[in-house]
Amino acid sequence: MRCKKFKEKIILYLYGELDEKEKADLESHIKECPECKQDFEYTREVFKVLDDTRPEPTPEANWEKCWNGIGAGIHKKPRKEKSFFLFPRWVYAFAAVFIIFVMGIFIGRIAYHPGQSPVLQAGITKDYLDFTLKEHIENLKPVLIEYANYSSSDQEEGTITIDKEVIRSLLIQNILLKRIIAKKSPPAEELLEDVDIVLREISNHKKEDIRTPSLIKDLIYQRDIFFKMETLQKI
Amino acid sequence: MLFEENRQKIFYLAYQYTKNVEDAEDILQETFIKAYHSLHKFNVQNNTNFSSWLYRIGINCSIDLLRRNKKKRETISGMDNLENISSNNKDMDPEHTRRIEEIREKVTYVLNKLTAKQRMIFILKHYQQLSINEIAEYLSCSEGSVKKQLFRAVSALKKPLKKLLLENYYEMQKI
Repeated sequence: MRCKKFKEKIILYLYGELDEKEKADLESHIKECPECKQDFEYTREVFKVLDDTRPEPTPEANWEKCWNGIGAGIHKKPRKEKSFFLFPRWVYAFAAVFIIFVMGIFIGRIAYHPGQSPVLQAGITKDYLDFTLKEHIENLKPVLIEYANYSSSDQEEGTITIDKEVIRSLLIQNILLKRIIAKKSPPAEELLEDVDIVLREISNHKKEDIRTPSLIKDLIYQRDIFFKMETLQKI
Repeated sequence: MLFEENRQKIFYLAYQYTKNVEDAEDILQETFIKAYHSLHKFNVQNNTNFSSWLYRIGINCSIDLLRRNKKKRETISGMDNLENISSNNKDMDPEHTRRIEEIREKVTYVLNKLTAKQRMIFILKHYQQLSINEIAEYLSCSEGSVKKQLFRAVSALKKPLKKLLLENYYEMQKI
């Protein structure tokens, strides 16, 4: 790499185009590097040969003919250079934008069918979705049972303590499933809506607020969440 | 007169570049005609010298012509060059003349193989002895680009000349 750089500089050196520092650098490199030294000597020899064989003296032009040609040329209107383009360039730019637009619509229509979830198109099968939903229900159960079994006597011991991270990941999974299942399975969507409300309540629950677990319990029963879960798992 | 002052310089460049009198004359005419029609573009206040402006037009006309006549150039220039060599070296040692002819032929051949721009850069640097900075200004490109093209042009010349130079070297050893 370093030698390549110096080889480029050898030519500039011989043309006297290097400054003092560059010259000194090159000279010291040539002393150390036999390959560059050889290249330097050979290039100098080539320059000598080129100088010795300079082209012959330029023959005399026919000035009279040239002058006449110029005289005739300047009286003609300058001919417009033949353009490669038949139409003004903006026409091509506009056409290109239009074609891209039309192709975009065409590709969009082929690749995207309204109503079909993009995630399903990406390869998620219905079986996999059912399995994920059932798994999600199984994960929800321990949390919901904890709140469903909450009794007022627990108030003395304190409130239910569930790791916030667990609730957050359940909430995220719930949101994702809700988006995927939306309009495909109304019972599942309804359950996930209810679970969403409950999980948000749990997530916002503060330790000092002793009334919240009872409210969550009521919410679980009011919305028949366990019944809906059972129904869905049987389907 | 502007024509008198500049014609020789432009013709010399055009001839060096095309190695053909007729082509060089065409370039000269085209340069002056173009300059005449573009006079309104010449900016006196921009500190531009008229001769330099004209020279720049000449350079561009030469490059354009070479690009247009790329195929024609290879045959014509080679023949033209050989004719010049044989007619002007009658008094010299025939062996020496033959060697010079051979080298010139090789140089012409390699120059013909270069791109129009590389060839122009080599001629402006080697034969017209302009600085890299001047060449960059004439060709409206960066000095780095000129250096790179010059390197390629000289490298292209170095290879085919190697054999000839080695032969020369051995002959010198024999003497």
